[in-house]
Amino acid sequence: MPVLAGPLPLVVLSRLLALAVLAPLVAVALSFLFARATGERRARVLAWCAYVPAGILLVTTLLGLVELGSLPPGYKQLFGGAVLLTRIGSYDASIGLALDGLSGPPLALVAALLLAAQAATVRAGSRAGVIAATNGLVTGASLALVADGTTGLTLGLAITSISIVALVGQVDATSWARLSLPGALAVAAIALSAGALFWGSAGSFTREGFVPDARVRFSSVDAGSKVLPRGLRGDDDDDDDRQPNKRPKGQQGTISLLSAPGARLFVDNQAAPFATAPFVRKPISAGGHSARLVLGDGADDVDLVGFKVLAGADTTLSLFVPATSFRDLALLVRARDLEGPLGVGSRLRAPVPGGSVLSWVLALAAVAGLFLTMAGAAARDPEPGRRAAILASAAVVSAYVVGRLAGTLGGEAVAPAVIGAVLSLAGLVAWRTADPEDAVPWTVAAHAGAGIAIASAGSPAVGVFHTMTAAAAGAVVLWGLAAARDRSDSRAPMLIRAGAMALGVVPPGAGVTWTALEGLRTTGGEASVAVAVALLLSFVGAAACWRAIPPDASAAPPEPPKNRKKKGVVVEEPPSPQALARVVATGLAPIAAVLGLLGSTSIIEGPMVRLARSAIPGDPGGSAPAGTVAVLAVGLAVLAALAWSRRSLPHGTMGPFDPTTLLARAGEAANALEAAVSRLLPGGRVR
Amino acid sequence: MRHFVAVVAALLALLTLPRAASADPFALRDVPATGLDLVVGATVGFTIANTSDKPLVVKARALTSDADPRLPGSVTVTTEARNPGAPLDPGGTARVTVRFSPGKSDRFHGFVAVEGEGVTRLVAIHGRPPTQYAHLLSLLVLLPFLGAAAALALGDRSARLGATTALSGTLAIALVAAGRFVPGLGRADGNDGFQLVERAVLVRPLGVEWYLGVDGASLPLVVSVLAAGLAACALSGAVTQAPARFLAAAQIAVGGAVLALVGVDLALVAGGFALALVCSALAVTVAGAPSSGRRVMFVAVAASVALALAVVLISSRGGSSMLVDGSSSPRALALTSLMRVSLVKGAPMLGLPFPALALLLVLVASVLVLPVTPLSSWLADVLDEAPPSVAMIPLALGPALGAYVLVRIGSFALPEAMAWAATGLAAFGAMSALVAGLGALAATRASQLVARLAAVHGGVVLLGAASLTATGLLGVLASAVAFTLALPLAGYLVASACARARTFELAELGGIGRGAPLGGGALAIALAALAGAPGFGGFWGAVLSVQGVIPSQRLAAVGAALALALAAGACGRSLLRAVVSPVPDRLAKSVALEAFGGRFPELTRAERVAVVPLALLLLALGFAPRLVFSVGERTALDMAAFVNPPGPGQIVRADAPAATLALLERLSGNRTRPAFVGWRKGCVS
Repeated sequence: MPVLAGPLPLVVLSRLLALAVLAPLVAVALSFLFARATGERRARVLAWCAYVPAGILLVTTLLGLVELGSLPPGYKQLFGGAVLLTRIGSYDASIGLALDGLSGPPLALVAALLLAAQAATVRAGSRAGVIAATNGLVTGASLALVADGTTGLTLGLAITSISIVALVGQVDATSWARLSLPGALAVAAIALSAGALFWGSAGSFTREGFVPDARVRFSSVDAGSKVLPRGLRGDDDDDDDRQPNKRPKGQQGTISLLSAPGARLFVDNQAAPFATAPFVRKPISAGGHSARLVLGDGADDVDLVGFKVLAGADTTLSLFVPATSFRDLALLVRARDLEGPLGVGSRLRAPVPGGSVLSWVLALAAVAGLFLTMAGAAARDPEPGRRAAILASAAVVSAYVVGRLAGTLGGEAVAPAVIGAVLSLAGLVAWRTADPEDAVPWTVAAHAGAGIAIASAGSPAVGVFHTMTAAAAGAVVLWGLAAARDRSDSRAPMLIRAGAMALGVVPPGAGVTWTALEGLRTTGGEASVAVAVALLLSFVGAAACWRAIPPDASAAPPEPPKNRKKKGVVVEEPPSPQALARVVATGLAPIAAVLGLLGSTSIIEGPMVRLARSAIPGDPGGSAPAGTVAVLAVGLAVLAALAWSRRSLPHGTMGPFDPTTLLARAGEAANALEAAVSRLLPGGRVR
Repeated sequence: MRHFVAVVAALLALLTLPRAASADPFALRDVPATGLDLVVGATVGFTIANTSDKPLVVKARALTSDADPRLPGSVTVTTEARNPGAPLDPGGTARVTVRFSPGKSDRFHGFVAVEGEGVTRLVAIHGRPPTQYAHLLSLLVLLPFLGAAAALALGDRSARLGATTALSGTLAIALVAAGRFVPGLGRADGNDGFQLVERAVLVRPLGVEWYLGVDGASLPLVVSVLAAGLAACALSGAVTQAPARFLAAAQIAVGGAVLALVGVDLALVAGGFALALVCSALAVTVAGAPSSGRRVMFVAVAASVALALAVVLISSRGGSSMLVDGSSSPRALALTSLMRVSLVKGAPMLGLPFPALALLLVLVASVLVLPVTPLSSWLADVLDEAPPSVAMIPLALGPALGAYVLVRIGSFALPEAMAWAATGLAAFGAMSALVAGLGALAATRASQLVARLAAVHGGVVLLGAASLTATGLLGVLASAVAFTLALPLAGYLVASACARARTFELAELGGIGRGAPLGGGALAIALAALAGAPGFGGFWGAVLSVQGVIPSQRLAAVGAALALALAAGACGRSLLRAVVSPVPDRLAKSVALEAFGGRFPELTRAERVAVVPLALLLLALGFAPRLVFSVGERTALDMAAFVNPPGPGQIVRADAPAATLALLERLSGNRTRPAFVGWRKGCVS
């Protein structure tokens, strides 16, 4: 029976997460329903549709973060349930929702940013289609960030991609066509990445082909009071108020099962099911038990031959089968590592182009495609607030995907770290750019590259946090610059100053600095060189921003805003929800500062860093082979050179579908082939 | 004419007569000629009498085992004799009782084998539910044919009412069948995973049986084919040329497709396949599109001939088989018999291993109608020329039947060949999808775009079939269901919008959604489903197909994913132009839209009734894919077990009684494939 090398997560059920994902979906439908309505009712409904879903997401996330923070230290997770799509053989496609230390802060940031984006939309005139598309963006981004597994992540990124294309298509019709292809490519890449990761955990990719795991699959049980943190153990004397569930009394313990949603657990040959997965801390008598897990029609039942439930302790049942859930994958990697070189953890890092290597490459391709799509959409958006919000969301979601993959697989991955460093070349692009509204997005992209490098180097939470703070800072600068240009907001200089400092090393952007230094310090392996290069390049970008920002933009007193009363003209004041949204969004810089300061209380062991480390237990391991790294680096360098030459990022000259391109010619050739075959068929040509 | 009918009836009677039994050392009494009929929860029996002049050791056992579960586990056979275990005295008798306890399956067709002195006699046993539903599938198959006759009888004026009534009734029967379907019932539960089974001898010398049954692969497709066919008939009001004949041909086509889907005998599958395709072509021709009708006819005839040849080849090498009444046939046509036959033996044909040749023929039939690049031009031609509702018929039936025959015959009858062809099939599928994706991106005509999107789907289906994994095969089934709905819907909406705008050029179209939000929304849903966008029907099937092929064909998986992305990109572009963007000035001021005030007209009431349910179904499949997955999971798993048997470390071979296995092998002629190896529930190390 496998034994788990690291601690099991402390999981608490939370039904609110589902609400956060479903509310924007309902708002999308409502937006469409009221799109053709007229009058005040329409405006009111659309305003509700704009603010409520993002607001619910923000509040839910903050509540979740508070709840997570109130739990004892360790890797902990709020689990929002799961919906089974199919379970066939060992393939388990279910969409689960979970919030942990890695996904919580980015989710809060994205929620705030999208709330600000909705405020910008409402201010610009409440177009139903734009509100619906932004809500789609809220749905997709939130699903991607709280997805418990690769299926949910794929779906979330797909919805994000479609929504962003739909959004930009309404404000700039030509962009729809230009951006739909990279968006679709990103979705295809992430779906492939998820598949590669799943099959990598189900067998070995060898030179002779895929060799499925030949061992008989069975379940393992990890039991013992060590699973429960202090305060939840039955033998503790103190009654901890923070205990999420009622502590089992007397000679009782509890069992939890978070894998295989929808599966029914039968204990001790009883006819009625004991519980239906997922469940947490369900009381059961202490002592030895046997159980059968009925997985459904498409999979075989699994017998648990015997497991012991300790009095007053929680026993977590874990399926050690190929998985699509991040939690199960992480457990699988760590558990099987004890089996030596044949273990899944070792196998996934083996020097063959399968498993995690393939997953990494494809995931990075997906991240690149998604970032290009979102950044391209942001560049075409005429509304500055929405532009800044979308750009920052793009950086955060991209870095999160990498961080999550790194956290799941553990260890240090040199290839993605090198790719992150290559992406940080965007800092040099920023240096070449004179326009600050161009330099800032390039700098954010460079920071995202650094975040990816840090995450790949073994500190996923630090990498995500780094990107998050940079993205928030970039959004604030962009907003400030737009406000200064339009002379519409008296806070413009403050916004620009705060954001620009946060992009670099000056407080309140300390979070960026300290987490970056911590990331550099904690890695120490081969990837640390890539991390150092990436950080250097991202700071070059920050310096470029400082250089590009005109002194008068951050210092000159603004003109009176346009929405003041002018002689003979009454201009509407922004409604209060807009103001609230803008306040919330403006408050991101202080939030970033607070988070950064938390991280910087001690370089060695600040609480933020501890949280970052404990979010995903690290697992030192091997690295990708030098040959793969070289190939990837050269490939990425070529891509970067192409991007450089076309200056496509972020001003989105991604390239429309140009009939003269190779792609178009290939398409025409394909159609010519069809036509040639068609001529061979009987019957006259129809056209 | 009367004499002809009499002669045919006499011939049929002669052909269906069971063979006379030879002289045996024992006799079976109380056994009707058609076998024992028993109802769920009841028992039935017969008597074995020793007719020889010496003591006889005789045994009766159900022809099933854990290793080869031909009968449901709830069927038991017991022998009651005066001295249990002792030989029967001359003239002595023993009573055999067959019990059919309530269980997952409520019907079966099987055998009790009686052995003594080296002689084996088979007694056919037929289990059925107590009351109704006994002939549900026969009704399902025959009703569209009755509807066709009614359409012809009613004439042009009332034919549509008759057709929609008949197909509505058929769809209702299909839904009743779906309600009685037990999703988790697989091969291990008996009947080889087929449910609602009906079986009778049709043409004895040829071994053809009226053998119907549904499983997770066929049932969702039956429902989707009927839904699309019903929509096509309901929308046929605009067909002005010979509407009654069109509706008759359309209903026969739908009936043929249903026959191919629920047929377990390969003769029925091939016959239904040919009927469906040829009548689709006839429907297109009689409705006023002779040019594209000829093309569809060519495709239909070529595909039907290829499949018929494959069936003939398979049955010729399939050895002997047992018909439902216990008699023996020199050839095997039932899939349930062919599942137990290995066709690998024997000399190669045309330099190819025999199963490979048969599979190639099946593949030809499949790719012609799926469609697959570069053979998808017929689809664009139909959209260009035929009235929109007429085009729906071949568009609905082609993808459904193409995908079905490949996975059904390939997995169950030619598994070795599927494994042999997997790499080539995957490469071909990925390449054709990629070429189609590029073609979609460069498409200039709306009909061309729909055809290319369909061809991307065809390539992905081939890829999923080549995956040999349960995941990939389930993806194929889900894709086929989604595309059976999405392709005709998209085809109808595109063709009708183009007809209204009097142009098929994508560059000249625009603003459909502005003038007709409902029509534009439905078109957006259909195109998004065709492109495999999330939230729509085509997404999950495509994802599973591509993910399922990763372990064996990584490069092909990447190619197919790229193709899907290209299709999505092309779809996004077209959606913008056709649905979201404003009506182009030139079009708004054209004669075509002048009557509608320069805007596209909204769907008519009849169109809403037919189109909206299909669009909602596609949305439902996108948001709740378990509607299809829960039905198809067990079947996909069974198929995967055939084409890609689990390795020695993954299975525990069930303990089959050696005597039963030996008897099965002896009765089955040249059976060389190992008997079904089940996955033992709850493997424990």
